[in-house]
Amino acid sequence: MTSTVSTQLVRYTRARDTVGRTLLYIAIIAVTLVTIFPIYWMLVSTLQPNSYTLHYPPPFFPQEIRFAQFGELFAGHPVANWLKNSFLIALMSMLLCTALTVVGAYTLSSLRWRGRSAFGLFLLVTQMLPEVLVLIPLYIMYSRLDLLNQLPTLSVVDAAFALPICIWILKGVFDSVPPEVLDAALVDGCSELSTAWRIVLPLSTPGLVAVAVVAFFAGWNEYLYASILLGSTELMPASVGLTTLKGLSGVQVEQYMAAGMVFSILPVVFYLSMQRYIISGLTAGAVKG
Amino acid sequence: MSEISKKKITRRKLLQVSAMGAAGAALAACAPAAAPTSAPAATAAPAAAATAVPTAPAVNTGAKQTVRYLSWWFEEGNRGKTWLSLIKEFNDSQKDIEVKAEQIPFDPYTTKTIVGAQAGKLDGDIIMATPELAPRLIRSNLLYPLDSVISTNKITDLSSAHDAMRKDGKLYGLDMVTVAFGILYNSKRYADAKITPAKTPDEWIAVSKALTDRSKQQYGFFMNHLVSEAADFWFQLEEWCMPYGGVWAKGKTPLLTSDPIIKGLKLFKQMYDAAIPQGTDGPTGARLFQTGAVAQGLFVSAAVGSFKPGAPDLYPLLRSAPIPWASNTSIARIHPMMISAQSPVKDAALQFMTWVYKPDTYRRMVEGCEDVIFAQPSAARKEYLDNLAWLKPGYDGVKYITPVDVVGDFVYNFQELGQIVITNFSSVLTAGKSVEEAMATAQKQAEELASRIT
Repeated sequence: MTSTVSTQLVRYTRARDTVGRTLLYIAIIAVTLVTIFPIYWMLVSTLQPNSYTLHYPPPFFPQEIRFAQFGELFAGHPVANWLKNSFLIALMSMLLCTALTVVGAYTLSSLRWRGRSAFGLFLLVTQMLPEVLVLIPLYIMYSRLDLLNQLPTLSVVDAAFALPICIWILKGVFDSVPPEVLDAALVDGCSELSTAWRIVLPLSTPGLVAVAVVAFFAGWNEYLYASILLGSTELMPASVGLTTLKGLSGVQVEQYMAAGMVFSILPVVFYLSMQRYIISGLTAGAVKG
Repeated sequence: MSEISKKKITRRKLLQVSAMGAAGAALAACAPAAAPTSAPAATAAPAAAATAVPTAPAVNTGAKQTVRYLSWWFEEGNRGKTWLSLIKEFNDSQKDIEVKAEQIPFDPYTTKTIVGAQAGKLDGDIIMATPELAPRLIRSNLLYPLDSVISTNKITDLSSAHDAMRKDGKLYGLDMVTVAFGILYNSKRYADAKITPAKTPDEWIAVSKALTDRSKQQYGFFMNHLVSEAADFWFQLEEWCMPYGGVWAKGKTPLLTSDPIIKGLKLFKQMYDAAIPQGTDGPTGARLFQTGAVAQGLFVSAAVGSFKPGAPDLYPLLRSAPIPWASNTSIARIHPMMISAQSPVKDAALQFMTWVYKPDTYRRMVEGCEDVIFAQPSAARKEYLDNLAWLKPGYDGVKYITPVDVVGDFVYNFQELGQIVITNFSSVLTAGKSVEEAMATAQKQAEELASRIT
């Protein structure tokens, strides 16, 4: 009797697990499909001539594949220049933000000073406000300083907006460095600064990479301030420039889809190459013990 | 961190390191600043203009003065070519002044200019404006008066649309293109279907329906209708108060539940159901019109010329239909050129503008852009207008009113009103809500908006 009940319980548990796992997989597949479909559709619309895309209902799989639209896109529009601008803005933003993040995170993690916790919270609060709130004050400031229409100006803004979250990421990483290691370095003759430089930063490489990536993406994707603080087509980053293609009558569907592909692929490649560091960097300090 | 470390580092030391780090990063950030000037030759002029701004030479230095002319239209087919050609002609004739064209796409341009007005400093020396932007800029007291342009050129027939460009008796904007809404159609599609243009709203729906066969990818009509393209949707929906003689607002009073507005929107819904490729975005709709899949659309006169280079096969087939409502009234939109009062080179800018508004230069500009409404009627040449096959009857002999006439004081909050209308109206198009119900909600929201208009 006991054995039968036990067997039934095991079967019930297995069946429940199987059903649960199946439902989980279905949910995962559904979410994945919903997430991936727009990207797939962008790819299909990029690769096939627009006569197929404009047909209703459009074919689900590409009916004909051509790559000439990429050449037409780059030949007919300053996309290469926009991508270059995006890269420069993102790079400057990344360098500035990473440098300031190191100082900020070290200050919050290592130094004891009155108001430290409140300041840390205040940094987070700035992330809760919509960026547009400071648009006009920033515009006034930059126009009075004659700093409008310059790429470094925008990179400073982008770095400033990414800074709070980057500081919190790196603070977690700095917190996880064992104090014994630092004490040992000091005992061995390191100064405070060389301890930070020689010990803390090398041990925090994944965190630094994560911060750099976050700052890079913030600069790469930013739209609002780029559209206001930079004016002419020549200075635009790709995030703004590509949206203008949609309004030009001569631009075909497959061309602006190709533009979207190019704009998306570059950061994806960058992210994949850094993925190992990013995950360990973002999770560093999450578990202590 | 260890107790030892806490004792050894000081705030002063940290500040020193911070300052050094920040300075180093700032230097690194500034290093590629010259990048925009190393742009491809074809677009080098705007880049040079952008980098030259802060160091624009003062009037009395004897050096060449750079005038930054900001607009969204330097890449617009005929219009862009014509303006760039005129700018070159002016520059070639000048020793001391160089006008630089700076292309800014339309949406960022509008937002940037509004932000500049709110911030109290406009970017650029010469600024183009839309009918909705112009009143905001004039009210902001940031513009330089242009009366001397009129007196120097002895212009006596300036269009009455300029009355809205005056403040305290001074003129602050001069029209460079007035665009009017009309119904443009592909005459081959009409001929194939053996139909003639409509003369009433009901006939218009019937004609559009007859031109539609969804199974064959044939559509009778297209206009923007997606909330994701809010500005374009509202830009065109604005005209739909016309069929039954309505207005969206009078002064600060929204009239979204008035009978003419409700009937106009119901007419649009009929058109949407009968003839529009539903869900199609603007560029795709324009492409469908170019390929002949869409037979007709609501187009502003300034857009017709762009089909000549963009769709050379379609252009000869284009004709305009008569305005299919009894009032024969449509909306005309004035686009004035203005000068920033804070510009360090405003006299040079004024000189350029005076040259552009000379009757001969002005006529060449309008004809080059293939526009049809002259702010100086005496500058129009009959031969030029007679050669435009698409001009009559849809864009000629029509009574015109301005956006201010149809949205009242909401002209200062034009996009906000539009957002309210289209957000609610889209629930009629896609969620089966009645027009009356949707507009009742919109009316309440517009009344709240009215309370915020100053």
